[in-house]
Amino acid sequence: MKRFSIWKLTLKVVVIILILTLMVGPLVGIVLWSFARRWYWPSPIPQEFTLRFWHDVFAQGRVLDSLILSVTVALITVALSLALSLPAAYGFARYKLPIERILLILFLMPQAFPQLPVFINLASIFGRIGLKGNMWGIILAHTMASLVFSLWIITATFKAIPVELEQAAQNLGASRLKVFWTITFPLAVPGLIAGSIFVFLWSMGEFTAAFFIGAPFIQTAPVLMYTASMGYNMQIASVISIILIIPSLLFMILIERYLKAEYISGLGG
Amino acid sequence: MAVLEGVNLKKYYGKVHALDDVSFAIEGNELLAVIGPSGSGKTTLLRSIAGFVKLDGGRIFLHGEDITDLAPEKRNVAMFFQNYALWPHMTVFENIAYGLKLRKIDKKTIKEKVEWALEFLGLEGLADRKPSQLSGGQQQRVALARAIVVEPKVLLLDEPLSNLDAKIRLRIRFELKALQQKLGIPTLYVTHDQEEALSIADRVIVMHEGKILQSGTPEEIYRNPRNLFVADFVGMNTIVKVPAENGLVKVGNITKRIENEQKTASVVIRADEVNIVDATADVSTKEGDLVLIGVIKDRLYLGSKYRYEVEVEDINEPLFVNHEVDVAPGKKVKMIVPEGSYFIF
Ligand SMILES: Nc1ncnc2c1ncn2[C@@H]1O[C@H](COP(=O)(O)OP(=O)(O)O)[C@@H](O)[C@H]1O
Ligand SMILES: [Mg+2]
Repeated sequence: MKRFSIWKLTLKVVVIILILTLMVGPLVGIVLWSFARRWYWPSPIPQEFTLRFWHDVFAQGRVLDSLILSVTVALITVALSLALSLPAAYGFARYKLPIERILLILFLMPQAFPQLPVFINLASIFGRIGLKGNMWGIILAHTMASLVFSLWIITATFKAIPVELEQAAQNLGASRLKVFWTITFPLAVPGLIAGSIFVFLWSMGEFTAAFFIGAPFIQTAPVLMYTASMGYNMQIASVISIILIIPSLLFMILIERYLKAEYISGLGG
Repeated sequence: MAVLEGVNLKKYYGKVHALDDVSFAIEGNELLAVIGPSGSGKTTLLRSIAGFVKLDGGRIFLHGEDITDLAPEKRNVAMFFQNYALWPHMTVFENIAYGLKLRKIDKKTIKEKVEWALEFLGLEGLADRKPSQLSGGQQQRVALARAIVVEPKVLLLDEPLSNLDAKIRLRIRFELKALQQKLGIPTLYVTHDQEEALSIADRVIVMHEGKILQSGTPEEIYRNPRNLFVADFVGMNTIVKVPAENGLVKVGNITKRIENEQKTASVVIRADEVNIVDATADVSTKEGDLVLIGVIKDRLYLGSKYRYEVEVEDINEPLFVNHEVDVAPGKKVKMIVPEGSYFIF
């Protein structure tokens, strides 16, 4: 046990260092920008610093509203996406449908296929049914889009759980439902965590759908940030993007801490 | 009435006949072993009794009740899975208590029963460990504890010892037999290890390609194999092919009548039951003993005995026999195989 946790710790540290190196580079630039009054090329740091833009951002309630909207949308999207994926993924995993390939194609399709026309179309449909300029419209669009990868991750998770573990419980007298909640679900928790983090982060950062469906009444944080940087205000955009990172980090830490502890103490026991 | 009875069980996977008209019965508290090479349908048989395989034909009766279409969770036959199938997120205690909790037994009784099972199987002090913190032998015993603690009507064991080291396997084999007798639970024991089955079973079924080739006591199977496959599958053997003419086979001093159309016959000899003496020695033999004259070609030291390669007069293939006496290669010897230690098919 001892050695096991040391290995785990080492692995964690390595992963964190890797993530930091990949993230810190761009982050340092953003942090510097958020405090810059004047920053002309080729100077490696701004010539003059100021807190003005941080003040400006918080003085306008807009930013906080956008942030709250983004977090709310992301949380509800995670909940819906999990609730819909869970039974479907379980079915796909246990009844050996060739779903993995289909999901993979769906998963890759947005990369090959422009999202813009899809979301513009969706926005016009939503406009007709009163979901445009409405938080629920964005949530619906996000849930639909994120379903592909949450299904993919969770199907893989269920597939990795040997069917014998379920049969052993059934053999001792557990009903299907009992088997699911005492054996399958607890064992799937790590995969569910991964899936939720993925969906949360994706929803928090999603721009296109949020822009077209949210307009003209509501703006999520990425939309606000985009608008700000379009006004050539690099500093405001930087401040918002820093603020945007915070809920994501919090979500990851919380879900890891809370659900892992629960998991280890034997959620299924 | 039989405790557990299978009647004409059939299961097909496409062209593969995993179960081809299999019938069996377990009587009293006996340990019935099912042996056969890998792929002969043993696991399919167990899984169909547990309810995880939908049969294409036949009925299964438990104490006379038809359970063929009963859901797995309603059968009360405890299955031991080949890879243990312990739940990694639960402690040893929780694993063993799982079946009891489902039976709505009060906490105190559950604790008592689990503690009894832990002690019975020598797992004291491990109750709070996770399965990943146990050795293979300990995991095996936890899986066993989990199955017996619910006092099932029948115990189904799928290769319970196959994942253990050879030495532990030998010791646990007898522990398992003693345990089964003490508990008095009728048991169906599946293994590909014929020696294991012969040493602990009350009765043995030999399966091959989904069919039962023979069933009987270990002695019957070993001393009276019905066909070449069974004769070869049990025991340590050396087999040679000899020509047959007009339904007659001649090997050494023995002539045997077999089916007319066969051009060759197989002689199966229990390699450990051959007596080797000097070719000129005057040893008394019984009627029915097979006597072969040959020359030692090669010798392999096995510790308690030697393994000899012997070239026998009139037989084209070498014989491999074991004997504790040291004989130098090149020597001419007489081999005496008692009746019941060789079979001609
Ligand atoms: N789920 C399955 N799908 C297809 N073929 C199977 C399945 N289960 C078993 N078989 C086939 O049925 C035969 C018997 O298998 P099994 O009962 O596992 O044999 P054993 O346990 O004796 O090794 C084998 O040929 C195996 O390949
Ligand atoms: Mg098997």
